[in-house]
Parts: sequence; C-alpha cells; structure tokens
Amino acid sequence: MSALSQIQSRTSSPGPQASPAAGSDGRAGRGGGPGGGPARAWRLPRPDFWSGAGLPGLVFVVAAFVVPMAVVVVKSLTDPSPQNYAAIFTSSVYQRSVVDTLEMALVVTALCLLIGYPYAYAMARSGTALRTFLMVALMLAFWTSLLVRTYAWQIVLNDTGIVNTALRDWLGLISAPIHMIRTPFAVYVGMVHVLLPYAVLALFAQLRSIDPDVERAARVMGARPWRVFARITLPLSLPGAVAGGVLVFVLALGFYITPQLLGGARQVYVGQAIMQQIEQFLKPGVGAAMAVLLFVAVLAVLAVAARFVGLGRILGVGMGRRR
Amino acid sequence: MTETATQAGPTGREGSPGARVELAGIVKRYGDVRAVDDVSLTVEPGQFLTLLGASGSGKTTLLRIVAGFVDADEGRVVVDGRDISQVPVHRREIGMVFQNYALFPHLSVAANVAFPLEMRRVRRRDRADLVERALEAVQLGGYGGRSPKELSGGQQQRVALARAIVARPPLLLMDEPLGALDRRLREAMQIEIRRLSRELGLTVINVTHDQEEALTMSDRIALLAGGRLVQHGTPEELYGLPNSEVAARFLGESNLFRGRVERDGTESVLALPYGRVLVPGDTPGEREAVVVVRPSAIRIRPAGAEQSAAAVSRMPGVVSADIYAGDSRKVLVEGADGAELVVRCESGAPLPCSVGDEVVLEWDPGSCHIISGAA
Repeated sequence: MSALSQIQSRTSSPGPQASPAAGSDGRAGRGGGPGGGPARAWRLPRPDFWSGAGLPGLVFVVAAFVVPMAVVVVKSLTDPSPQNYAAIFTSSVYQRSVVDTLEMALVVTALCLLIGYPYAYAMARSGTALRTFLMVALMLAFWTSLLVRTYAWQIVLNDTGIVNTALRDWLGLISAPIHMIRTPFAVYVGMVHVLLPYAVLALFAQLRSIDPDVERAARVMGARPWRVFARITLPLSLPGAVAGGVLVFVLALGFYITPQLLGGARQVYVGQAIMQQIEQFLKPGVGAAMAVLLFVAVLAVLAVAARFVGLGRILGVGMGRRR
Repeated sequence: MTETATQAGPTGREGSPGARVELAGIVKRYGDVRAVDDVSLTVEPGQFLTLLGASGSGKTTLLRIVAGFVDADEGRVVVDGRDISQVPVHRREIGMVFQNYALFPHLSVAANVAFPLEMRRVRRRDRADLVERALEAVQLGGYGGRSPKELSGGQQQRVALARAIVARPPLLLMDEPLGALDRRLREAMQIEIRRLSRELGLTVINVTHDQEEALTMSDRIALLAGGRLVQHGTPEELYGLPNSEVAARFLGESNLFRGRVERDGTESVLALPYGRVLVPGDTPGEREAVVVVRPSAIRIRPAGAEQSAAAVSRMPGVVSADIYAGDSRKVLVEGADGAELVVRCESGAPLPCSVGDEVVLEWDPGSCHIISGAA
C-alpha cells in the first residue's frame, strides 16, 4: 500500500526525471555504485579447508614476489642513500625516458584496442568453428616464446628482411630499404604482437557477456545495424576496452626485451633505463629506485582504472564471466 | 505510416490499431529437423494469440520468423496485406517483450522507453511526454530517472512492456514474457498485459509453454507440437473440444480412454477389458475413438457400494495417491489395466476412501469429449 502511494506521489510531482536529461542522471548515479563494492569484496572469508589449501601458493607468492620487492625497496633507500630518488627526479635523461615510455605504452594500447576490437567482435559473434580458429590463431602467438617472436620480427623488419625485399625486389616500389628496425615503429609492431591477446581476450569476454536479446531488442525497435552497434554494443563493451587497455598499458610500461631488440638507441624506455643503471652505470640503488617508481606507477594506474571497471575484471582477463 | 503510428496517440489508425497478421505455409528447417513445419494461421486485428507448446515445439522459432530474426525457408508473413518476409527487422514496426526483459543496462528507464521513439525520429519534446505516459500505463510513472538495475524483476518487465508499446506498434510480440517471474507476480502481470493490449487494441502474439497463462490471456490459442500446428481456436475450444490426444494431454489434466466403439444394446461403448466407458452421441458404425474425461468430472465410490443407475461410465481401480492442493484434492487411481487416472475433488468434502482402497470411478457420459479416428 505504501509503495503504491509512493508511486502516485511520484507521478503527481512535476517530473524532471522524464526529460532526456534523466539519462545522464542515471549514469552518474551508476558511477558512484562500484565504490561501495570493493569494501565487501575484500573482506576475507572465515578460514576453511580451501584457504588452507591456498597456503602453499601464498607462501610462494610471498617468497617469490614480496621478499624481492622488499629487497629492491630497501636497496633503493640504502645504496647508498635515499638520494637515489633525487637523482632520478633531477635527471633529464630519466625524464625523457619516462615521456618516451608513456608515449610508447599509449600508442601500443591504442593500436591493440583498435586492432583487437574487430577481432574480438568477430570472435564473439562467429560460430563455433570460426571462433575456435580465431582463438587458436591468437593463442598460438601467445604460446610462442617472446624471444623467438621478437627475433622473428628482427628478421622480418630488417633492411634486408622480408618486407624490404618484397617491396624492393619483387614489387619494385622502393629503391632503397626503409629503415624499420631500431625505430619506434618496430617496437610498436613487436609490442602489439605480444600484447594484442590481452586486449582481445578482455574485449571478447565483455562482448560475450552482452545478452544477444538486448541487441535484438534494439533492432526490433527500429535501430539499423550500425546504430545498434553505436548505441548498444559499443557502450556495453567499454568496460572490456578499459580492462584490456589498462592491462596492455601496464604491461607495456615495464617491457624490456622487445624494445631492447627492436628499438633504437634514441628511445630508452624505463625498463631499459633500469638495466642501464644496474649494468652499465653500476648504480643498482638508482636502478632499484626506478623500479620502485615504475611499480608505484603501475599500482596507481590500476587503482584509477579499478574505480571505473573493478579490479577483478582487469585481472580476471580470459576467465570470462560466470553467468 | 510511421508518422501516424507514433505521433497520433492512442488511435493512430482508423478502426482497430492492431495489425492483421497472416502466416502462410511457414517452414523452417535446421538440418534435417523441421523446427516449423508448414504452419498457416491468421491473427485478426486486436486479437491476442498465444503460441502454446512444449520446448522444441517450434513456437519460439515461429515468433522469431515474425519478428525477422530468423528467415523462413518457405512461406510468407503478411501484415496488413503486405508481405514482410523480406523486410529487415528494424523496418517491421513491431513491439517486442523478451523473456529476460532485454533492457539496455547502460541507459536509464526513460532512455530505454524512449529508444523506439528516438529510432523513429519522434521529436525530442514529444518523447518525454510519450515516455511518461507509457510508464504510467504500466504503473511506473516517475521511475524514468532510475537505472534498470535498481528495479525488481516485475518492474523491469513493466519497463520492457512500456518500451514495447510506447511507439504504438500495430503488432506486439512477447517471447515468454512472464517466464522469469514468480507465480503471484505472473498472475498480476497476465491481467495487466491483457488490460493494456485491449485498451490499446494491439494485435498480440504471445509465446508460452504455460497452459494456464495461455488459457487466461488469449483470444485464440495455437497449439504447436513438433513444429506442426495441432489446433487453433479459442481457449474454450482447446480445453473443451481438443481435436487430438496431443491437445487433450497438453491442455489441463485429462484421462484418455482409447478403443473401438461398439454397440451395447441402445448405447455405444468402448471395447475395453475393464469397466464400461460410454460413448455419447450418435455413433454409427465401428471405429476407433478416444474418450477424454477431465479429472473434475469424475466421482469416486467405494468398490462395494451400491452402483448408481444405468447411464454412467464406470472404471475400477485402486487409489495410489491422495494429494492435498488447497482448494482441491488430487487423487491418483491406478486403473485395472495399470494406467494412472487423475481425479479432482473438492478438498472440503471427506474422501470416501483412502490410499490402497479399491474404488470405482464414475462419470456422466455427457461430461466427456470424444476424439474420433484419433491417431
């Protein structure tokens, strides 16, 4: 009865809710929602058999990650002193490296999403046979050693590599080889190749979670195919794009092997800069400080992204969603 | 036509705003399976038709063919005289309610309901008004600013209904619209949907496997089994005069007796090893027939009791279960041939027997229905 009178009082009140502006209200209200979620999600359950079974894994994680990380933090502060951090913040070389790294990570993330979205869309909407093929094709690259793939790109992109040979000798389009190896371009190609699966899997999981009836509903209500995509599918897949994008971005920030083998001397990315400090300049304390800062930056990116899509969705890539 | 349908309010068309829908020889094959097998039927303007059938009967496929999500292999879908078989989904001017509501989760309730208007290019200032009226029609006035996620299942389904009718489509399709709701809510929604569709004069094609829902809501029921149209008629016809065993078994509980019709003096009876099943009416010649007896038409008598006068059908049996169901009581009786018979009696009156007792079931021949030459 009280619910009914509530409805009636709402009806009689002049309703700004019904105006088109209400749409943005709804979204704004939703954005605040997830803020309450993590608190509940992070509360630990009462210990039971399964938390006991998780103990060996926990011990390993602590031994293999927390301990070395602590050593690095201590080293950055004591070898020789916290001055290590001051050295980083005042060094123009390091600042340049940070800018280059951010630029590289952003470009790689954008490329992964642009290339990955249509791929994930095709995977999500295709029949079993095609989906399996697309998935295996994607995962083959994933399962191949990083080093092998990176060397393969060296061969492909070399001045005497397959691409240049094809363009010059077979097609006659160029007279001199295009320098691709040891440029940011080669780094982008190699990095996108390595990181694309993360973006595709995150987008795929999100696209698969969209109820096909929702798209059908839009069609039957008069939306042409492209409008269904623009108004329904794309907005509903954005959390997957954020999750995949953040994952790619974070991984790209600390990449070492691919930039080292495919990149030029002009761009020294953060990963390489850390190695330089330790191996060439023999300043492990400064290298450790850089590593700590990189780690903090990654955590910061994850923390910001978690406010939008939830940490579980970013880290749970490839697991799909339970429905 | 879009203009009048969307802008002119309740009576966008002359006469009934509902469409006349004609399905002509619809066939849909999946591999070797005929999901829909030569179905033809007509829905008159303003009629509420329910496609009733078990899962796999082809009812959902048929609805999707009308909506345009699935292409028929043969046959035509004709709406108001126009063959729309080749018309793409978004130009069919259909409203649709889905089983799991299919609301747009990223849009507010108002934006959800406004979506069909937006797609039909209704002017922005007219939209808000139409949206609020549609929400009021489903008793959700003022809920426009909410997110669908904040609403209960019943409320979400109301929003879906408002969204389906806001643009006043001449045809409303419903795919098991109440399947996800609990019983009480379902019954309330049945009445509400029926009221709304009558008020708006919409032609409705509803899909369900729930016979009660079909009987309650429909003007016409089309019973489907194995992709074929079994029977098409009013709820009374389907329940009272099933044309086949399939129909008799699907709609309501029923006891079926099958056998050859024989003369016994002045009466016709079924040739059965036990009991005496009268076949009422003039039944010349010998033929196969199925006698359908509804559980509520049967009386239970203890086996030894004095038998009542001549013109009743009788069947001996043993009570195997007595199930209390509130306003009625369901008694299962194992017939002499091992078949299970169902009897419904009032729960108030005391049962003249208990489980394990031998009893005789009696019914008046006038209260049963004959399916002749049934396969």
